[in-house]
Amino acid sequence: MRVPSKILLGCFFFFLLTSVQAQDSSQVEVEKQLEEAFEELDTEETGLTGEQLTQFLEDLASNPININSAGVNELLQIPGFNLILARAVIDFRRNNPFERVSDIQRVSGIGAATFQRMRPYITVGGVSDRFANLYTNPGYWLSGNQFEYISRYQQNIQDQEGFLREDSLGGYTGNAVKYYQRLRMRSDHLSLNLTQEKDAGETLSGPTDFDFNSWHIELRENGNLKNLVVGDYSLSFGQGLVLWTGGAFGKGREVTGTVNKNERGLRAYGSAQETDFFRGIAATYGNRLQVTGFYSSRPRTASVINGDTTNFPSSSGFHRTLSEIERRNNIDQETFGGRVTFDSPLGYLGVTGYQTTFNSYIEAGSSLSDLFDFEGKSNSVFGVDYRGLVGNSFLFAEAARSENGGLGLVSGLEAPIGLNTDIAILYRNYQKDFQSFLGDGFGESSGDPNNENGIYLGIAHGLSNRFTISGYIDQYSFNAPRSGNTQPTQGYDVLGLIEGSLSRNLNVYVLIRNEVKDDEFLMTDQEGREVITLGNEKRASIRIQTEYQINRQVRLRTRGEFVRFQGAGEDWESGILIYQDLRILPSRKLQIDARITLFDTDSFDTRLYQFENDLLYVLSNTALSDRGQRMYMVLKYEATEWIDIWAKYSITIIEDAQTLSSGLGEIQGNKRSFIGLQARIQIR
Amino acid sequence: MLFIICAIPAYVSAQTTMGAREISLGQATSALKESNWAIFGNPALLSSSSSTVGFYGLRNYGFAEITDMAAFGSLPTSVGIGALGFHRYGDNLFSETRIKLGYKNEWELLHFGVTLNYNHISFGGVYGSGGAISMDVGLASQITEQLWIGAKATNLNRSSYEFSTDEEDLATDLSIGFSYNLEEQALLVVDVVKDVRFPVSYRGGLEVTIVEGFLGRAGITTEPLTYSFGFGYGKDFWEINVAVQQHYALGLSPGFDILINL
Repeated sequence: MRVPSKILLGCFFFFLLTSVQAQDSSQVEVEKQLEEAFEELDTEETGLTGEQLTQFLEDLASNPININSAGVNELLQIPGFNLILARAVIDFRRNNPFERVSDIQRVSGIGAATFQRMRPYITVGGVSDRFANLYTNPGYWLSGNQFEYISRYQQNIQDQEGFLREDSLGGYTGNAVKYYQRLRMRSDHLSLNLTQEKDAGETLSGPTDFDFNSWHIELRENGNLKNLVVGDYSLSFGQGLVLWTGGAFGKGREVTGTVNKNERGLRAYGSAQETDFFRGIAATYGNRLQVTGFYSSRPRTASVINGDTTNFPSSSGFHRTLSEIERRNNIDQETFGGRVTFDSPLGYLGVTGYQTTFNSYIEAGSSLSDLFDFEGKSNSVFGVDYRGLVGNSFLFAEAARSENGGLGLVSGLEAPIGLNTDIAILYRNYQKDFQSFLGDGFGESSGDPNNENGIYLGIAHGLSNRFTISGYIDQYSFNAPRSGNTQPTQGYDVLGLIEGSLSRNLNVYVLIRNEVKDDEFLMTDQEGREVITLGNEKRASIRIQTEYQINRQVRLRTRGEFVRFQGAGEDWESGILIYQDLRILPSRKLQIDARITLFDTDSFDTRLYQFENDLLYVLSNTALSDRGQRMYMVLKYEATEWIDIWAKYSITIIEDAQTLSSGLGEIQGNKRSFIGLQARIQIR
Repeated sequence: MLFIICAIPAYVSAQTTMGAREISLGQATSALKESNWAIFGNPALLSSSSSTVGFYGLRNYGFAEITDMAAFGSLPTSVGIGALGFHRYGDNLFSETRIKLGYKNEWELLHFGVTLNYNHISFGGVYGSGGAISMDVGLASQITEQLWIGAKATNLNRSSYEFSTDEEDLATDLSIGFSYNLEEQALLVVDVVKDVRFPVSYRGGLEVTIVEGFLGRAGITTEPLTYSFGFGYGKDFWEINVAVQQHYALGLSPGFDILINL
């Protein structure tokens, strides 16, 4: 184990630093928002975007936005904010600067619930730039200085097949430890970062040999130079039709605030997600007229078809077996482009475009659903977007065109109706040949916006000051076959939620979801031939959750969830999950979370998800299926003012199973247990 | 159900809920406050009011050979409440015995309890016997004057009886419930119980004070489907409860208990 030496290295940095501050107590609210955003997604999606979004929210919480000085774009990063509120805050503070954070509730449109959501991410700040523009003064670069070092270790206790099998027979070459470390220095005007990670099964022979390394140097907020990044960065613009990396919140329990994407622009990247970023140099300059330019060149991993023809690069980032290692970073992707935004009296107007080139010929798959996928060496996408207020309504739209002529369009509106009701409407039409693989538009499935047509209606209403009711319906159709199908399909998705507090400490919510979509299945006709038939796939679920805060130190949470699923041409199946959760804070420095879950589902299709507490920056949304139980415990301990320690142990036991998982992940027996340890040194 | 009983006698034959009041309330004991038999229910609800001893018997479906018999004693002290429980089921040919040692305490408004159980089954003659140690934990809290919530997990350590050729897991379940005083005279209890291996069971019961000191009760459980009725009568120092449980297929089981506050 190299961990102790890493900690020593961290201690060395400690001497360089000045002030020490106790850590924020807003963790609970951040966790709640992550849970609301992710629990309705399945793990494949959360795996890709989850870590980045987790980090985004946690970072925002540790560097809250100053509501007395932030511009519209900064305010829009805060969960719960939209353009209407951002403008209202700016108008309000002109005459009444905020003295306390809670004063923001005096702004019309920000009630107790909205305030609760944004509370962790806002501050009223102090004096900002004492060293204004004295670039040669070291104090300028070091003001607001924070140092952070994280070391994380995670491991499956049971041996998986991949570790037992010989390397030459396709087994994993490395050991079962997943190790991550991150070193970060950040001040008001400067950010330096190094993130390194080794996944379970990947080899690691020394500090320079991590499978994944990410670093950046960023200059922030230096006059009109908004930021300049050398190294890794993410780009998210407009509504995501052209460029959007770094994850986004989509359909979920928050029905009216999430359909519009609040662009994050150019941001330095420090996450361990291995594919969803750019590497090179990028800068944003300007004020009301902002210009962003970027150049990126980075290796990608793709499976070779023959010679210099490959599949589209993979997004997994695993390099564990000899064959995975062989194709590691085997092709290059070069991307350049830019964006201009103009803050006009009518709203924000933006223009985005890029050109990306692979050094291999990318071939689309051969199934019907791959018919309109990108094929070739280079692609370019260009788009225009708008965000603005019309009366009380917030409008947003983006239209884009890919090099082959495919078009994508998204437009929407968020508006308050009266005092207690908000609505959101979104229409999208992504043509089947719209090829925008660096984008991530609103849609039924997250990821590239293409081959989808649909309308979303969401409404949230405050029944009383203690209860809210909300819901959405999203109807969509796919004009070309989607994976597993040979013809166009359609469907809809409905969510209903009532949540509120029965008493001051007792919160309850009931969540109902229903999704019906076309799916093909094989039916035997009268002559005994198998024919492809279009049927419906249906899934319906209801969840009841109560949360009781006994006192400041103890919280009880109980959940029951029931799901029914019917695959096309199949019978109904059902599943159930119940859990009891306990959170205790025995002292100000220690937090203990424990949970026992019992679940019983007929199949994988009736699996149920539970969001779990985990190590910091780790997103844990566990899918449970079959019949069994799961238990876990997480400890978070603030050892000193600058060292925090996390530990998690979890165990899942499936009744009557001989093996769990399959392929290289297979475990003999019916138990799967996992351990995680993490230390963070944080000095401000 | 009959099939299950025949096939896996160790699971279902002995009831796990003890106490005539608890049986007549449909075994919804997760949040049943002042349950004297809490050492067999949710240990977080062990009564702190006085030292109590109790004796209980239930003749399953009228057969003397499959009688549940149980006794307990509880003792409140300055460092929490301790309790000891004993349960035996069956006859010389097949019997189950459980000895339970329980502890409960309160911290702020959180009630928590734990029991350590020694479980023993014996098949009589040369067919052998086996023992296993298991642990249960419980939580409960009073939300308002009227409302209690509670949860209990049994066999947290996933213990099993080890036989020479085979092993038999002890029942592992999670039950969650609440109790609510509809009126001053009427108490509603509701539980959801999930045994790892069996479908979810819903349990509910209602207790009404008919006249001072005299209570009537009724309850329902699903999986297996049972109805139960009963009444109780008590003074300051003693209490008698009677219960009748109707299993949808197996018939009537009468039971009673006597409680003495020392």
